[in-house]
Amino acid sequence: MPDPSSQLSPQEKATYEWQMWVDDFGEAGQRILKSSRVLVSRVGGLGSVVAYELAAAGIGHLVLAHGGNIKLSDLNRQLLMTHSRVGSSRVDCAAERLNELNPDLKITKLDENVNNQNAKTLSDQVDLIVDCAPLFSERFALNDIAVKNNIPLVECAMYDLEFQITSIAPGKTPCLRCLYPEDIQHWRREFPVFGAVSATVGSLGAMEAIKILTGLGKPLYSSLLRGDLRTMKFQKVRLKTNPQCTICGRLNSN
Amino acid sequence: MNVTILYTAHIKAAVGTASQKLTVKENATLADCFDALCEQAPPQVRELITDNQRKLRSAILLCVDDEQKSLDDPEPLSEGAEITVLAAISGG
Repeated sequence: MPDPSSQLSPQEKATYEWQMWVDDFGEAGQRILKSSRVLVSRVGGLGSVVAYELAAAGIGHLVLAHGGNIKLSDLNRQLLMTHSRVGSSRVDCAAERLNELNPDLKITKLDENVNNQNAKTLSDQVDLIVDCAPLFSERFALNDIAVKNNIPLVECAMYDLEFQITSIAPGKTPCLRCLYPEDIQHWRREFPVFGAVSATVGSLGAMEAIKILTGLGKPLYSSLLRGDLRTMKFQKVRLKTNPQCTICGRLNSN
Repeated sequence: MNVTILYTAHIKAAVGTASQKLTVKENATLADCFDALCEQAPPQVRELITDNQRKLRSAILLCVDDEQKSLDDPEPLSEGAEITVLAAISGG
């Protein structure tokens, strides 16, 4: 769990001065961020921005899971990747870029995507998970372990100019399996999207993580925010728990 | 009475429009509206929202105005209700 008693150096106080002016956050909030550990599942279009914003905000430790090497078609949205590194490891490039911004940030890298085998080991290292993965098998693996280990989870998603985001508090809110009890079909691995759309929802995801970790504001618990940047229409939908959920039904009935 | 169907993501792309008016019987429930929607939807759209037993696919959430609802919700809808066909989407 984050340790609110961790001390800030003079340099950290100078770096985070503007956000420590935020009401209900202050130096106490910054201390919590410094001692917090967050897993970002894939540092692609969504996760690059989540990780970058958390690094900028002074999170203490990021665990990054993303397999594969950088492709040209990543560069329109995966903002931690660079043209000069095409063909090299995504997670290595992401970690270097993050440490350029924040040299104090501790990073644990896994050159692999989340799966049912590694999800527990990854989740054991963190206080919160931000799910930015493209495959629903990865999302369900993270959801299931997050519920089991009582770790809050932020779900970010995008398509075309649309986005969706919700936050999950295991045992208190619907989980991903409450919403989608069966595996998802009709989902194409590659889809239309702008980097500005992934950056929008990535920023929202980072803010949700900061809010949940520090108790700031009201996270999107039991609510899904969706937006369409084509029309600039936004909607917050109230979600319902599924008492028969195979993953969290028992927790939510207690 | 009239309700409005709002489509999202790849379903919106398949339908070719973001919203559509639907005329249904007075006091129609969400299930009545869904049946009417399936009845008039072209096959490629019907395939995205229903399985081969014409049940709602589990990758779709239905919302009435700003609230997620189950298809078996017995409450009659109001004139002008907005039904969002919310497709599961992901990252990348």
